[in-house]
Amino acid sequence: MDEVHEDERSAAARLALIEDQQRLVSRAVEPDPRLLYGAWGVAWLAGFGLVAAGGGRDPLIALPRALPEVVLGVLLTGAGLVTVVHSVRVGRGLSGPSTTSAVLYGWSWVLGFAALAAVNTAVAAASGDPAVAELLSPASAGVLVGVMYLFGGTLWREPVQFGLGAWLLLTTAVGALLGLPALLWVMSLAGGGGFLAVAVRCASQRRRVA
Amino acid sequence: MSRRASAGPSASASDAPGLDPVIHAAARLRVVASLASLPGEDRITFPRLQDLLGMTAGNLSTHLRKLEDAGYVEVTKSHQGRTPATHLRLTPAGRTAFEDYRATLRTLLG
Repeated sequence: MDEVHEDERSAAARLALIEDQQRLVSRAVEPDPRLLYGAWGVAWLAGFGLVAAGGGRDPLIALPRALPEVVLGVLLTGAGLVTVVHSVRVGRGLSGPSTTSAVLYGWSWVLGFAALAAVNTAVAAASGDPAVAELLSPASAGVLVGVMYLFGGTLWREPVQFGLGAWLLLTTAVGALLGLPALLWVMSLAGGGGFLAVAVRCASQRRRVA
Repeated sequence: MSRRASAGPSASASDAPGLDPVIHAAARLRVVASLASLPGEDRITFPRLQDLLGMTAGNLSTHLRKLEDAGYVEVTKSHQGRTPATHLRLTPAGRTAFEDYRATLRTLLG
């Protein structure tokens, strides 16, 4: 038996062992981006699409009153629950600096949206014009989501996540300037489509590594 | 550290010189590799690590003790309410040993 070859074989086996174990651990302790971006992508695409097509004063399709908004709310809540449950699951048993960052980042979403809901309610009440709330609610939510992804991309040094945040900010800003119902179409197709494009990208990256 | 770098008389032919015997055992290598892939200086609880490795608690404890004795793993105990929890983390020395070990393997492959 050639000893040098034997050593090389066992070194290669050791490296493979290390790589396999590290991939297993990384995938177990990091949130699955395909699931999270996928859930938000579907919620935005279907939810905002339904409100764009079936809501407002001049709907494309006739739907029971408030049904599109209710469906949007259910879809967004569902995506939020998927995110929270999945993130808590993958993070169980972990503590330390990056886990602290992840927990504080999670709370940033909760606090941001709670404050935004209060401000939007106040603005709608003060303006007395339902058209203000109809434009402000999706537009301000889109901006906050975009900023949170900029922040997330910065925190985890993920240019793709940062890029998604920039894309959501740009499309929401353009959509808001176009007014309703264009904003809702933009958030459905460009926003939801953006989430899904990132989900697909993450899926193909993962296949390449596997 | 030189104490550990020199392979003892029991070392077999495949124990190439320079490979740290503390992490050369396959089970301990998997433990160290797992801890090394946690981000930054994060800690992991004993049961979660056990779950990721698929080892028995007794087996994992034995390996962790060896790694702790070598100064590669830091073990801290805490109490969450009444439940005691054991948290594990790779020490800087442990991380260096792992990086060195991996670099040595790569050199062996040429």
